[in-house]
Amino acid sequence: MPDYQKYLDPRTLNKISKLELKARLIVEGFVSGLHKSPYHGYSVEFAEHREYVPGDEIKHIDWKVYGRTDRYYIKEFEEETNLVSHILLDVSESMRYGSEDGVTKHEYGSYVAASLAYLILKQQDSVGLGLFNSAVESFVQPSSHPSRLRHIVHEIENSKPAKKTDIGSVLHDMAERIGKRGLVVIISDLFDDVKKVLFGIRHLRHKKHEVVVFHVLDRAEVSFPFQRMTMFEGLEELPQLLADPRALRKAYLEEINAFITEIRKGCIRDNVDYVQVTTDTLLDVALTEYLTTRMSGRRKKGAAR
Amino acid sequence: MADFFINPAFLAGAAAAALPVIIHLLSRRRFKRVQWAAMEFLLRAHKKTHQRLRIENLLVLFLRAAAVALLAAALARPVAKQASVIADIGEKNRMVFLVVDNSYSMNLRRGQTTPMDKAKKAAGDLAGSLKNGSDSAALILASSMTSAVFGEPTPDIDRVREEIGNISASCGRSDLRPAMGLILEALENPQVANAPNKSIYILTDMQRAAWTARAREGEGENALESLLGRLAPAVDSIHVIDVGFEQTDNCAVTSLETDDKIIGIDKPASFTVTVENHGQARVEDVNVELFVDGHPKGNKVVSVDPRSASSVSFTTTFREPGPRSLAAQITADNLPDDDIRHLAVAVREELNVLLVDGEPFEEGERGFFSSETAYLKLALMPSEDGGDPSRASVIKPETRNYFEVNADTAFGKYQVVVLANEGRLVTTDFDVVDALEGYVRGGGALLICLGDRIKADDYNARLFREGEGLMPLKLAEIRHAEGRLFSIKPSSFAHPVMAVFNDTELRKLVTAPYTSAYFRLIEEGAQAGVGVIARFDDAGEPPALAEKPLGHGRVMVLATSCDREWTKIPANFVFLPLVHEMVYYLASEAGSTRNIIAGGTIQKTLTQQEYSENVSVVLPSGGRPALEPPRKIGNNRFSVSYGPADQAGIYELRLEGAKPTRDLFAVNLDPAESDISRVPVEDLKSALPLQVRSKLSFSESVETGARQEVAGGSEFWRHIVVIVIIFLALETVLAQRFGNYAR
Repeated sequence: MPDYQKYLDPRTLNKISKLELKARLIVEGFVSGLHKSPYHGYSVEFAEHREYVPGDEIKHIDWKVYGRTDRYYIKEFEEETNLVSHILLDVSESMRYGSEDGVTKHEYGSYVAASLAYLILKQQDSVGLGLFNSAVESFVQPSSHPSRLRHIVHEIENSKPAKKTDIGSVLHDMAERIGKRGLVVIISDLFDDVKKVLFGIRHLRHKKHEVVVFHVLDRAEVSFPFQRMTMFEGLEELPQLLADPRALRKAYLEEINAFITEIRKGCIRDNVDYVQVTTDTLLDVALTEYLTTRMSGRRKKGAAR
Repeated sequence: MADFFINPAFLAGAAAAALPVIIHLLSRRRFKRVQWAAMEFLLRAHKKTHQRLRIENLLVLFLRAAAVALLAAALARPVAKQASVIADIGEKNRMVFLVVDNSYSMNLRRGQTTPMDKAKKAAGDLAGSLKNGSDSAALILASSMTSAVFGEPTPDIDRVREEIGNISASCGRSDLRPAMGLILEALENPQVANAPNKSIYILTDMQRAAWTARAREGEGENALESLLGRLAPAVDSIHVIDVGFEQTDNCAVTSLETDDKIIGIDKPASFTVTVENHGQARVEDVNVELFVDGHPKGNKVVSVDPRSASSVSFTTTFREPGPRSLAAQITADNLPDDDIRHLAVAVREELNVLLVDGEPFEEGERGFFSSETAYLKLALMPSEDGGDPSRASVIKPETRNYFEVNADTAFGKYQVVVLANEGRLVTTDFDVVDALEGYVRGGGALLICLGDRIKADDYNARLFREGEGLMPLKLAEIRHAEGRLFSIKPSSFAHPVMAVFNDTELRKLVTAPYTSAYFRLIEEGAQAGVGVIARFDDAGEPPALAEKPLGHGRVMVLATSCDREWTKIPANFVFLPLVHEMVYYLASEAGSTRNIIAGGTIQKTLTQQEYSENVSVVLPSGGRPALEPPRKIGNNRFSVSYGPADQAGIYELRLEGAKPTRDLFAVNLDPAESDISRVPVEDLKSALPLQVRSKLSFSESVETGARQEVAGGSEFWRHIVVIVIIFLALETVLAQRFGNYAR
């Protein structure tokens, strides 16, 4: 079995592939795909007529309609475009954490990234990858070529969680770097300054990207199940702390829940899909859940429009 | 420190208070390492909470350490001094039952002190620790002569202290039962029963007699064990404070007795003195001195083996009739009370016996021996040969035929009355029966001999009266021998009447077959006190000779005749000693309270002639209290009594009538108390029921005892235990709340 396939659990992929990944927003593209293009007018499939307004190009006027009605109508076309997706995977040191009998957040994030990449490519859409910690460590340009999957998996595999996170500046960087509107998937524990993180996400939204945040956390991080006296050794250059976890538990949970809530609220406000996953959740469950809500979300939005 | 705590050794346990701290520190050293990603949140949480956590941890740690230290302090049993502030939180309103053993063994001397001195000091200390007004104390002196100085607890502690100073040993023997009974009585008062902090303090020399054999004599609920068993649930604690001495050597005169049942004038009377050695070593050359009426009459020397007794005999002759006092004394030892013993005797000029003949001699019929009383009179008749007066009997028999006796006959002048085959007078003249009954109840003695003139129904109706009358037993039919004669068998040769036959040859003689007929006496339904002295060897072994105490007197019944009509005994050698023993027994026993044990009552029966309103008693101590005028107890008979006689010695009763008379009485100590050997605490504990043991504590000496219960005042370990429980509960709640326990 090739290396990269370890990220692509056949059972998981089998379940997910039954769903089609459809971006909520219609992105432009010319490779035929399943995604609606936001651009009307030049394609093969006729969509509708609309009345001419000053500024419309004259060449798009349907003269046949003019001949019959004596009014200027513009002929609009709808076309399916291909989706450009960027998967941004956090490889900072904090992602190295994993409960004793589980996978690390990095491993879990890698599975999510590989699985999404596989799905996107299967839909003929193009996918790219960015690995980051305090800065973008490596970047794979998006492509819809099937060989891109191997490339992506190889990059993920070679990555090692290290260094501090600086998600905010990475997101600003990526917002500038990605030219074409598309889908940006952020897979991270987001352990950074909340304001900076949200500011970065807002920058991506400002550039009209659709953003999905996979907030990967360990079960221990949200439940703090420790009982015995424990020496907590900080990752990402933070100091260590000897404490009785039972005494600290309440205060810690308050802190982490406040953090999660702030992130989630920020995402909702910016119309960003926020998915919180813990590493003990089965991957297929996590992804299926997301995709199902996404589909229904799209349908709702479509109906509203 | 030792003054403040009863078990100061337990204070070392307070060091265990360090345990929670050590456990805390150890737990900080043993930890798990975890690489943690969400460190920022943890640091923030720590920063926010660590000040509060510190305080919480210190609080829980303090509670744990304090609980351990306080527990150690409670085990050490702290005692709050009167003056100290802690005394106020100590047990308030104590109720103390002070029981001081005042048996005479408490006078045992060692050096300058006695158990009684120690007991008084301990009792004084204990009373001193009580608060006048709020606490209360009862003071009971325990012995066979128990007295309740304060039977119910009184708040007037000052008076209790005063009374403690006045305690002295009595002449009684050790007996805690009456004292326990008094406490039980006091506890019946709801005010006493509901009072808190009740404790009993028994200050005793731990004499074996107080706790074992005698204490268990009491049947069922009167036994000491059962009394303690009833007391234990009603009080908070029972403390026994041992004030006795380890060394318990003691020599005592345990008896002074006359060997003669009747002491007559001009006849040598012999007296036996028994000296008992209760010690572990042989006592050599004890000088035993005999006094008669206070004058020395001779002395003898005796050696006594350990834990055994030796006897010496003295012989003396009295020339004058009347009451006499004797005393036997040995050289005083550490317990002088029992080194002297008293005896009061009556020296008689004559012993008058009235023989009432129911079948009188009739001229020419069968001669002299046809009279029913002929053999009796012959047997009782003093020798008339004019020989040695010392050999003459003091018995003066007087025969009267039944028709010569009536209700006005002065039975009182006879020591013994015999009804011989008398079946007419007593069944027709009720006044005679009443007079006889009054005579017996007043201290007279009656011997009833049966025979063919007696009709069972009449006797049962007039004399038996369903056990209420003179006859000890109910009459049934007459039994006649067929083929062989009946013989009599003494129930026990220990009975004074039969003791004289306790010899191989004489036994054969007395149990030989002589009797051809007798009245069957029915024992079923007999009253308590009826005793059978001898039986016939017939079917069912019916009584041959039976007795019954009646009032102050005694009645004896012979089931066969006293002449040769029904039995050949009167013609036999055994008749003489048997008749004499019966008369002596009846005469000596009759109404005698001449020699009693301390605590008993002196009682004398008076005839009309002796009666006087002016009666007094001269006590051994010299006091002379006047007594109540004599009480009428029957036909021409009166009774005068004094009691309880609580001093040992000779009491002289004086009657200042027309013809002043005096009589002497001897009051002695109970010889059982002379054995001052002690009972080991372990034996005692194991013998008592668990419910008693759980409340009972023993103190070896006054010092520890005093510290335990007395000097310090009130204990307050219970309060500490309550605080410990509160601390532990608080610790659990707080630790749970602070998250120190796993959820």
